[in-house]
Amino acid sequence: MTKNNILKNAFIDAQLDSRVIYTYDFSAYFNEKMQRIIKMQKGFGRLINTASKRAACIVLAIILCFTTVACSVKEIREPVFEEIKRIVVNAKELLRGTAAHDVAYLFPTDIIKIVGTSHISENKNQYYINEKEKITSFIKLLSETQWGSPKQFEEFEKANIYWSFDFYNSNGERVLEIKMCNDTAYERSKIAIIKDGEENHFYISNKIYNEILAFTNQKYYLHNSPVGDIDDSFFIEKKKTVFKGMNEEYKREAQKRIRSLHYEMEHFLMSNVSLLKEGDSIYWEYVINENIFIDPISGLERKYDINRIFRYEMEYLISVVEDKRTKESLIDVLTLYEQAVAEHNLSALFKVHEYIHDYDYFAFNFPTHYVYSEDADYQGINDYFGKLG
Amino acid sequence: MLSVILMNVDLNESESNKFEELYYKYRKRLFSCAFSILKNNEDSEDVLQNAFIKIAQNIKCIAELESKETAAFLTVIVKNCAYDFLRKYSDYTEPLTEETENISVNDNSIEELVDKLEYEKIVSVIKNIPSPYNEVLYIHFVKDYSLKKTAVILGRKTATVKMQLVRGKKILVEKLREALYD
Repeated sequence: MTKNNILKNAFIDAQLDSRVIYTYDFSAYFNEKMQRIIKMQKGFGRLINTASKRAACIVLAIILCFTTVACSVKEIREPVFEEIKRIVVNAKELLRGTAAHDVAYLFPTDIIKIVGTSHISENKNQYYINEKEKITSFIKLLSETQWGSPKQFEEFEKANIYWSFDFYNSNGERVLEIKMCNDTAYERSKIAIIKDGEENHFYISNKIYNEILAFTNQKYYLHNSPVGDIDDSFFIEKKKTVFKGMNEEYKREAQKRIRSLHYEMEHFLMSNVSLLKEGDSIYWEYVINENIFIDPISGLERKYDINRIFRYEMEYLISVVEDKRTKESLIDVLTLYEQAVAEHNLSALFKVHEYIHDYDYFAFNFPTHYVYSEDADYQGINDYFGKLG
Repeated sequence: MLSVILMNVDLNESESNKFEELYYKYRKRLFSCAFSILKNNEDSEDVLQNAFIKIAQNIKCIAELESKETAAFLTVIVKNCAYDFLRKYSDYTEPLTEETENISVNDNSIEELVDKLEYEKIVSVIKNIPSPYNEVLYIHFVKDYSLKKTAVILGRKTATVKMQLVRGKKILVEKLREALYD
């Protein structure tokens, strides 16, 4: 045995002296406490065997209680869901934008007239904003906008402008000019602010871009239904009606086709509303002829597919639906679409969307649940436009 | 009760089984050890409970269920808890020792003495080394753990353990010398 081992063994033996081992009955309290300690390390107990795990469980339990209460009471559930949706939409916008930059100081306060010019209309339409209240709102919107960090865009140097706004003071002098370019590829817009001969470039979100345009002409809402709550039994009946006489395979295919058409329509409207607001917009012809074209403003190669897709999907639905009234209604929707495009009528296209939306969410695919899709505009999933008769 | 609520022990399945077996196997022996120091059933139960929480926290230091080394290690933990209890709740004071911060004891001098003594005498000397030095020396000579780990096991500061180890070695040398010249 080495010296080290001798010392080691001596230390061990010194602890294990011939001390009497008492025959002692542990108290019930001690037994209970020890059982609790042992149990804590076994099975479910292991999930809460440390102070930090217990704290996490308490937080989780509180969240679960809150969620259960929120989901079981309609008055709480709906605002909570709305708030979640709002947060998601805002987060999406923030992520797609760039860092905020305060440019409020650039906007003059003594403006008495703003002239908006549409460079995408054949007649270069001009819109005059003279009302004090509207002018104040316009300046307020610009002052409170989240402006992306200044950047120099080549496009503006090539006069690549969709819309421009000139701001005049009481002496009739043009004191400010803004030029706007809607960059659909990046889902954000470029703006140039020209003041005292100095030009500054910024990014803004497409949402703000559309808000600015709304000062010149009508504002469109994809989902803004005046129809109140309707009992589910109504939609269950509608679903039975549209599927009347159809076999299971056709039913499934019809459900897929109308959902696809619905999202295509929404995507088209959301992406192009600012380009198609005017009847003489140069973009209507591109929608109608369906050919690949070079965008005269952005210089990018583009193509509108909506005509082909709309006709293709609608003709399929019309052919497989057996119910006479549904078939007639779908034919009317297709006719309405054809007229809207031929007449360059954006309002009518929004109405067509309402029919497709109702047939999708409240008939063919009722009840509808959130399913992630890049193209879907989930804000309208609970809106019924009353187009099912 | 508070110690049960705040205990920070997270064992896997095999460690949990090992802990349960250790408890049933050694609880009476360890109670006796605590009682021999505290002379009171309730206090001994309290100390034993705290000792088992400490054992659970250091379960990885225990290789075998049934060995002299394991029994000795568990005894050291219980003794440490019992003396801590005494220090906390009674007028118990540690045995006085000279200030030895600047004195270093060479392990070789201990080994030389061990070499000259009978085994039973060495055991007897170690038994007479008081707490808290006895526990620190045990972990140093048997487990060979670092000062930091020893400090964690015994629930003391590393600096305290370092000082106690130096003092403990000095006491050990003195007592071994005394035994040699008896």
